[in-house]
Amino acid sequence: MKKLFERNDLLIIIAVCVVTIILLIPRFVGEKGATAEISVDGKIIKEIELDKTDGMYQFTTETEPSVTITAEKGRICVSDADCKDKLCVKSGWLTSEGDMAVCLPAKVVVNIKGSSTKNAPDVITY
Amino acid sequence: MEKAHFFGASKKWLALILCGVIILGIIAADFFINREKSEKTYVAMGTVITSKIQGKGSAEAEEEIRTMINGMETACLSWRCEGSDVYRINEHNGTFESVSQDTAKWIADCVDVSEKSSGAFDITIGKVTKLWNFDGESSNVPSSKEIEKALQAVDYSKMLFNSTAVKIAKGQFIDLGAVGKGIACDSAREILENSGVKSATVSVGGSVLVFGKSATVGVICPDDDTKCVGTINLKDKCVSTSGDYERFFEKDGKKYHHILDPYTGYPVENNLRSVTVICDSGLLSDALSTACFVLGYKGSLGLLNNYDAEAIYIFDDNTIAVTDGVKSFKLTDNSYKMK
Repeated sequence: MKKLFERNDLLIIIAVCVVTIILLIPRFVGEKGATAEISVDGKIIKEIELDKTDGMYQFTTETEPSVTITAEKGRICVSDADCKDKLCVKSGWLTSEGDMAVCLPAKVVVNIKGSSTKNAPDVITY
Repeated sequence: MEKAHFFGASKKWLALILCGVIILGIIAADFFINREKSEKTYVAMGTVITSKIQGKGSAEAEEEIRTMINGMETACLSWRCEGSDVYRINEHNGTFESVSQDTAKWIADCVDVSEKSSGAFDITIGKVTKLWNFDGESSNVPSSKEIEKALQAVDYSKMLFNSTAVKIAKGQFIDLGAVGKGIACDSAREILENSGVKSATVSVGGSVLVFGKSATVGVICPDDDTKCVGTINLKDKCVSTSGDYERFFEKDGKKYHHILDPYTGYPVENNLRSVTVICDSGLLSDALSTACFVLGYKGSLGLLNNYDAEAIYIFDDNTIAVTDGVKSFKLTDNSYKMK
C-alpha cells in the first residue's frame, strides 16, 4: 500500500509547522514585568520598569500644580500633589496593569502597562 | 506511476509547498500588520482618555483622536470655552445662533431623547447644574428658592433649531456635559473607520467605544472604583454608565450626587446606584444612561426599546438587573446578586 506521506513530505510539513510556531511565538509572549508610564498632557515624560527599580526613586513634575511621584520595586504612587483635593495621592500604590493615578489640573497620568493580569477587562465603563 | 522526488515537480509536492507558502504568508502578514499598536492615556475634556488601538495606522489614528477631542471641546461643546458653539448659544439666549452642523445634530439628538423620556434627560438643565457646582472644589446645597428659580429655565420644548442654528429661550442655559464623552466616542469611531485600523477600545472618562473586534468591558463597582461587578463582551458598540458615585459631596450626613432630576432640581433619589447603557451611538448611550437613572428601572425599559438599547442596572441592595439583550454579562463580584 502506498503511504500517504513520504519521508520528505513529512520533513516539509514539520518545517512549515516549526516556522509557523516561531512566527506565532511573539503573539503569545507578552512583555514581562510591570512598566509605569508617566505622561504630562499626553506626552510620555518617563517610563519606569518597576521590577528593576532598586530602593526608592522619586521625582517631581514641572507642572502647575506640581506632582511628586515615588517608585519602589514593583509599585509606584503619587506621593504628593500641590493641589487641594489630592485625588491622585488618594489613588495609593499602583501595582498591576491598568492601575492609574490621574491629576486632572496638572494633566499628569501615572499608569501601569505591560504586566500579565490575565482576567482584567480590556476597558472599564464608569 | 510518477514517484515524488525532493526536487521533482509532482502535483503533490507543488500543492504542499504552495500550502506552506500561503500559510506562512498569511501569518507573516497578520503578524506584521497587527504588531502595530498604540496605547495612550491622557487628560482632555477635563477627564481621562484611554485609547488602545491595534493595526496599521494606529499611532496616526490615536493622534487624530486626541486632536479631535481637544478641538471639539473648545470649538463646540464646552459652555466654559469662550466662542464655542454652546457658549455662544447660551450667551445669545433668546436669539438664533449659528452653529456647526455637528453641534446642531447633537442638540437635535439630545432633544429627541428629551422628548422620548418626557424630559428625564434635558440639556436645558444648565442653570440648575451650575447652581449645584459639582465640578467645583467645595459644594453647598442650594436653597429651595434658588432651585425653584433655576428650574424655571429648564424646558427642552422651548428650544428651536435647524441644521445650522439653535435658539434657546430667554434665560435658558444648556449644558452638554452629560453627552460630551459619548459624542467624543462617536467622533473617534469615525476616525477609526477612515484610518483602516483593525480594532480599538476608547474610553472617554468611562464612556466606552469598542471598535472592530470583541472586547471585554468591565462595569465598575459603585462602592470601589478599583473593582468591577461584572463584565460584558461587546463588539462595535458604545457603553456609558451613570452612577451616584462619580461626583458627589456630603453635607450634614447626606450624600448629594451629580445626577439631577430635571423635574425637582435635586439629585435623583431612587434605589439605583448606576445604570450602564449599551447601544450603537455614544451620544445616545450617554444620554440614555442619565435618562434611565432619572426614570428608574421599570420606568426606563420602554425608553431603551425606542433606541434598541440594552442596560445593566445596579441597585442599592447590591442586586443587578439586565435587559433581555444583555446575553454575555458575567458577574465577577460575589457581593452582588442577579435579580
